[in-house]
This record gives sequence, structure tokens and C-alpha cells, in this order.
Amino acid sequence: MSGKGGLVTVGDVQLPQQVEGQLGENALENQYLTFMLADEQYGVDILKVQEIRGWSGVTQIPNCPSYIRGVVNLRGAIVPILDMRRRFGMDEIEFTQYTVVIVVNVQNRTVGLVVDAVSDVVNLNEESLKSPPDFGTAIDSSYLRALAQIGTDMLILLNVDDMLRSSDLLDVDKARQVAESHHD
Amino acid sequence: MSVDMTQFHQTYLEEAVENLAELESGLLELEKAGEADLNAIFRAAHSIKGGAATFGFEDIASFTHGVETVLDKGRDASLPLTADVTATLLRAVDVLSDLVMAAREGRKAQPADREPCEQALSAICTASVAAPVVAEAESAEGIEQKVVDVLFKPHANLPQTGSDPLNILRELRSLGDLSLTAKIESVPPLNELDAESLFLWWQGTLETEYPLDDIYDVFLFVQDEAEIALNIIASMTLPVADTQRADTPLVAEPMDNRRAEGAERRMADRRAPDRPAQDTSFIRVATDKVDHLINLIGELVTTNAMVSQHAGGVDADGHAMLHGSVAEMTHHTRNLQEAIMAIRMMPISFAFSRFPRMVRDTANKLGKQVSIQTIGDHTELDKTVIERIADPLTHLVRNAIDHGIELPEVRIQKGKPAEALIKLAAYYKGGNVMIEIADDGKGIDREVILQKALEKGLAHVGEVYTDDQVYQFIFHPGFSTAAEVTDVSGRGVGMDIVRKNIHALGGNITIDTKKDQGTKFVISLPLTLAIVDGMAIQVGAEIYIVPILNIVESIKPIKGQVKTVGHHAEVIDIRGVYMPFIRLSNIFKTEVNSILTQPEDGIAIIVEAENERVALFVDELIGERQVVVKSIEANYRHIEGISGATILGDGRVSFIVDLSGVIRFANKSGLYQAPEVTKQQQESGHHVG
Repeated sequence: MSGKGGLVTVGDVQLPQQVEGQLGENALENQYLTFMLADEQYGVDILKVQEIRGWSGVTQIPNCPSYIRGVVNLRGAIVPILDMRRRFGMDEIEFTQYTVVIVVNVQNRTVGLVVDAVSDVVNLNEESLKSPPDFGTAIDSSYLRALAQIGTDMLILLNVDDMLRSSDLLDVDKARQVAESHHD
Repeated sequence: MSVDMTQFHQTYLEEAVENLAELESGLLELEKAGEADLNAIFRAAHSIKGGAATFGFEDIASFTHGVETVLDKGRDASLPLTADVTATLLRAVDVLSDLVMAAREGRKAQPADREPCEQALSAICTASVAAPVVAEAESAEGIEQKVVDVLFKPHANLPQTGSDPLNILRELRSLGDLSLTAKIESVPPLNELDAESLFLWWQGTLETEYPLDDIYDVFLFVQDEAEIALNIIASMTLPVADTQRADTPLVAEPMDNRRAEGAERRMADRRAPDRPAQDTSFIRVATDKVDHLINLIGELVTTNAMVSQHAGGVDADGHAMLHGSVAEMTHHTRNLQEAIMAIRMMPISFAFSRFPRMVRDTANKLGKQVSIQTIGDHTELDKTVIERIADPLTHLVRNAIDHGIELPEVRIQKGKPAEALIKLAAYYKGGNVMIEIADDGKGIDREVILQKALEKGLAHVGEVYTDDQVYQFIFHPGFSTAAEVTDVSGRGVGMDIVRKNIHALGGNITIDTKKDQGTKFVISLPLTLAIVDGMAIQVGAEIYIVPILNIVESIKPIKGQVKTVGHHAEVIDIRGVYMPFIRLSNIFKTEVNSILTQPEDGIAIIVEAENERVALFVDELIGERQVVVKSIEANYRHIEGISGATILGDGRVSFIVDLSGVIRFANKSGLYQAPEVTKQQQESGHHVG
């Protein structure tokens, strides 16, 4: 347990709502919450995001992969927290109370993702997304959904469902269920 | 206006299940004692039928009708309720509960036994018609033709209860010659008329040969919403054989006051036991609402602990009022918690009630005579615990009948009564509920078990085992195949499963047996699964909760008390007994782990689980507390050695230790090899007590 007890909420992040009428014209446009990990920019489907909180320390889970930092009490629910830097094998940084936890809701499960900072909400047209190249065995690309171009920057879109499945967060049979429902 | 009836289906079916239970217990009593409250039994059947017809469960209604007919004949004594008849009725109850279950699950099903059972029922009825049995009571006098004065004055709100008075009148007409006058005095002028209220009432006469009870039955469902009076104003008795004789003079008796009074009283009697729910006022609440309440109170308890903790940091002198209020809040919160927990508590009779029937059936099948006695039916425990203990209990009772209890001849030879007795008892002991299942059968043969254990390699030649240790072999999975059970004087079919289920509930099971005197299983269970009495302990950076139930004692090891066996397995010497010394920090590996290496720097908690005593080495004891159990699996997976989580006073999450899991984990990971140490103990001449 590091840091002080009690969770700190990092203000109210205004998540822009889809403007009415826009839906018809840009039916294939989706919104993504983007966040920073080191100097890379990542994005997750905003509909999966439940809330954004500050890092407040965790209770460590015995015998689990190091990227699962532990669990926190989120209004009475026990929620596991994933360290995204560790998950992607990046250098570690010191967590402070300004470190951000994105709480996502996937397959009726709530999981927190620790990231460096939340940057923006972007609208992306599905057609502008490019499938990620095959990295071979270099990195695990199963949870990379697509790459997108924003100006000169590259945005890496994550598939949180797949990431959850490959992150040892589920019991084996549940993981299979998730996998099956995902492929339906 | 059409009412959507489907919304009442669930309620009806719930009630049907209750009525079925009443029907069954009544029939069992009838079978056993030869007499029972037939009216109550009939009422149960009648309610099932009436509701089924109302809510469109034709299957249930038509089948129950057959049951009701037999019961009705039994009630007016035109059919003797022999053991055969009762057995058929019990069979019918099974069919009926299958039908009700099917309806509850929304499927259409026809139990296989339905048709044969229906035929058996109608055969009983036909037989009774063909050879009418003239019983001692009223019917001995023959058929009683009578004129009944009928007054039916429904309350204005009758239509709102869903009852149609016309149906009642129609049914009344089917009983005989009906002549009624509708009273219209209280009908208001048209502009004041409320379309959903009833202002009519009826009075008149009914000429019928049916007994007064049958007429009352017509009003069964409206008796609380109407004023009903039935008075016999004239009656004549026709001898059974003479009903057709025209020259029998019809002598009208004057109204027999005594009789009418009797009828009135009977009416009053009927009301009281018939609808107990209206006096004690129960409400039906969906379980998830209660579960939600329990979650909320869990939050409140946690928040309360947080407030107390923060208030503790405030200067007590300057803020006496604050401290007083916090203390009061804690008090109220605890009361509230207890009250809410009490909602989930149910008497154990819910689990016990199935046994009389099961014992009867199993005993009959095996040609044994067994009676069952239950003690402490009102002992309450959590609904979840009751639901999950029912199957292990059934298993133990069935085993007792199958393997424990001898055939009647054998019992007589042994000088025991032919009828065996199974005693089920429930009582409170400390914070636990104890359930005992005792039979007076042949007991478990220690030697046979030990022999089997040796063959299985569970026991070792030359070692001395206590009785308890020997009986524990029964719970070993290897003992659970049917072939061995017959060899081993029974006991063992799925006993490992029984023990596993009980352990999963945080309980324990022990055996006490004497040859030819019987076997007694004692199960101890926590009152509830939602709250655990635990000891908070510190290992490294984390606080864990160890269930108090499992803790035997805690000691501070002295230098040299812990010894190593082989390379890494450790044992601790507790007053001459060596126990596995398990360092929790080795089992629960975390990043910020314990830095203690010397046993004398920490605490050893002696715990008992899986019928083994082990010492858990922890950094520090923090204190006892009651914690609300939270699921980890809701958002994460199962963690080995952890049974759940809770939220501490400061809002932190703390894991609850599953000791069986820890011991298994320790054995598996080679941190501690139990058999090696057993040998070591043997060499040094110690036996585990």
C-alpha cells in the first residue's frame, strides 16, 4: 500500500456528447478517449469509459502478474487496477496522486487502467482507421485494434475487451465466455 | 378493463409451493397418526386448484381436481383414507409439485407419473362409489336433504379483489335448487354510482344434499370480503338405500338451533387458522431487494468505521460532542445491521421439512423402519446457508438410512427396537449454528475403515491413529466409490463432497460413532455468509483477515521453537506437537512483502482447517473485527488462498484468507510436505493429538 487512503477524483472531465444530427451524417464516426503513456498516444472507445480518478494506492494481490497493481475500493466494489506501463513493458514512473486511473467497464466488469495522463476526446471515422501491422513476436498485438492519424501524431487504439482477456483478470471459463461473446 | 394476470403468476406459484408443503405434511401426519386435520389438507388442495383455474394453469387445476375429489370423499368419510389411498395421494403431490415447478420455470411438462397417478386416483373414487363405505359419523344417517338459508353480503370492494360474485352464485346453483333475491336497497343513484364497487347483496334458500362445509367452500375465497351466513332451516334424512322411495314422508324439522350454532362456530374456527397471514402480516419481498439492503448496510458500516477512525484523530476534550455523536451513530449502525441481517434469517425447518417425506420413501424402498425426529426447527440461519446446507444434509440422512440403519430383523436380534430413529437437531453455540444428524444404527467400524485406508495408502502400517483420525479417512475422496461403501459398512458415498460443501460455507463437520449404537455427525456453520468474524493480521504492507472460527491460539515463537525439515519445510514445536510452520509471506507473494526472517520477530497463529492444525507466520496481529464480505470475482478472478475481500475502516481493501486454500497451496508448492513431517514425528515419538 503506497500513498494515502481514500480515492481522489480528478475533477469532472467533460466528455463531449455526440451532437444530435451528427449521428446521421457520420454514422461511422466514433469517439475515443485518448491518453498518454510515455511519449505514445493511446485511445479507448469512450463508451467503455466509466469514470476517471486519481491514483490513491492499492491493496496488492498475492501471486499475480506485476502489471496488476492490486485492487481498490470503488464505492464498495472491489476493482482491479492495471498498470498500463508495465502491461506494455515500458519504463516505470513514480505514481503520485495526480497519476490518472481510467475506469473502464467491459463485459459487466469494472477495471482501472493507470496511465500517465488523459489528453483528449477525439472523433474518428471508422474508415480512417488502419489495421496495425503484424509485429510477429515482437509485441503482443492482439489487443491493438487499429492505428489512426491525428495531425502528425499516431494514435494507438486499444481493444479493451481483448486486453482484459489476455491480462489474467478472469477465471479461465469466464475468459472463454468473454472471448465467445466477443466473436459473436 | 382487462387485468394482466401474468403479474400474479409468480405469487400464485410461490403460494402453491407452500400449499403443497402443507398438503404433504398433512398427508404424512395422516399416514403416521391415522388422523389429521382433513379440512386443512383439503383447503390446501382447494387453494391450489382455485388459483390454478383463475390464473390459467389448466394442467394444475385439472390434476388437483382429482386429488381434491379423493380428499373430499375422505373428509365426509365416504371413503376411508387407508394407507394405500394416502400413498397414492402422496404420489399425486409429487406429480403436482413437478407441474408447479414446470410452471415456475415457464416450461410445459407432463410428469411421467401423471397419467398412472390420475388413473389411480379415479380408481379410488370409483371404488368408493361402487362400494360406499358407511362410516361412523354423519353419513351413517344417510343423505341429508336440507334447506339452507343463505345470506351473501359482499363488501363494496369485492370486485376490486378480483372476485366475481356471479361466479360464486353460479357455483352455488350447481349444488342444488337455489332461490335468491338480490337486495338493491343500497344501490346509490346513478350519478353517485362507483362502477368498481358492489352494492348488491343476496338472500334466499338453497335446497341441497351437500353438507354445509361444501357450501362454505363456495365462499372460500371471498369469506374475508363478505358477510356470509348459512343456516339450516329444515333438514330431513333419507336413509341411503331409501333415497328413491317415494312414500317416505318428508318430515321437515324445525330449524335446529344447536346445529346452526355449531355451524356458526365452525365458520369462526375456519377463519382463524385459514388465513394466519392476515394476523401476523407478512409481506413478500424479492431476495435481490434484501441483498441490495445488505450491500447498502455494508457500505454504511464501512463508512461508519471511517468516520470513527477520523473522529479518533480529533482532540477528545475539545470535541466531546463529536465523539458522543460518533459513538451513537456506531451504535445505531450496528443495530441497523443486525436488523437487516435478521431479514435474511430463516428457520432451519425450511431445510428439515423435506426429511420426513424423504425418510419415509427411502426407508420403504429399503425395507427398513425409520422414524425421524427434528429438534430446534426454529433455529434461524442465513437463507443462503440454508439453501446450501440442504443437499449435504440430505446426503447424510440418506446415507444414515442406507448404510447406518440395519434391517428390522437385525435390529431385533441386536435387542434394538425394529424402528430406527434418526434425530436431526439444530441449536446455537457461540456465534455458530450446530446441526446434528444422529442415527441409532450399526455405527462405523473403525477397523474396516483403517484397513481400507491402509489399502488406499492413506494410512501407514505401524502408525498409531486416534479414532478421530481414522474417521476422517471417510471424508477422503478415495473413499467415495459405491463398491467400497458396501464393504466398509457404508458411509463414504460422496462424503468428500459433503465436507467440501460445508467447508465452502465456512463450517466444519465431525463424526462421533459407536459400534451398534449409532453414528452422529455434527456440523458447525456460521450464522451468515455476509459477515465474517475475523482477526486482522499484517504481512508486509498488507492487512489480511483470518476467520476467527479457524483460529485456535496465537503465540509469539521463541528462539529455536521453529525447526527445519529437509531444505525448506519448517515445523513449530507447540507443547510437544510439531505443526507445519507456514510463512504467509511465502504463500501470498507481493511486491512490498514482509521483511521478517526470524520467527521470534513475528507471531504464529495456530489455525485449524482441513482437519489439520498448522501455524501461520505473520508479522503482527492487529485486532479482531467483524467484516462484511465482498466478492472479488465480480471484477476479477478467484485468487488462490483468498475467499473474499472486505473494506477496512480507512477505505482500504483487505483480503479474507481461505485457510483450506492456503494449506492446499502450501502442500502443492512444496513449501511444506505433510507426510514427511508425519514420519519425522513418528521417529521422534510424537503423535498429532
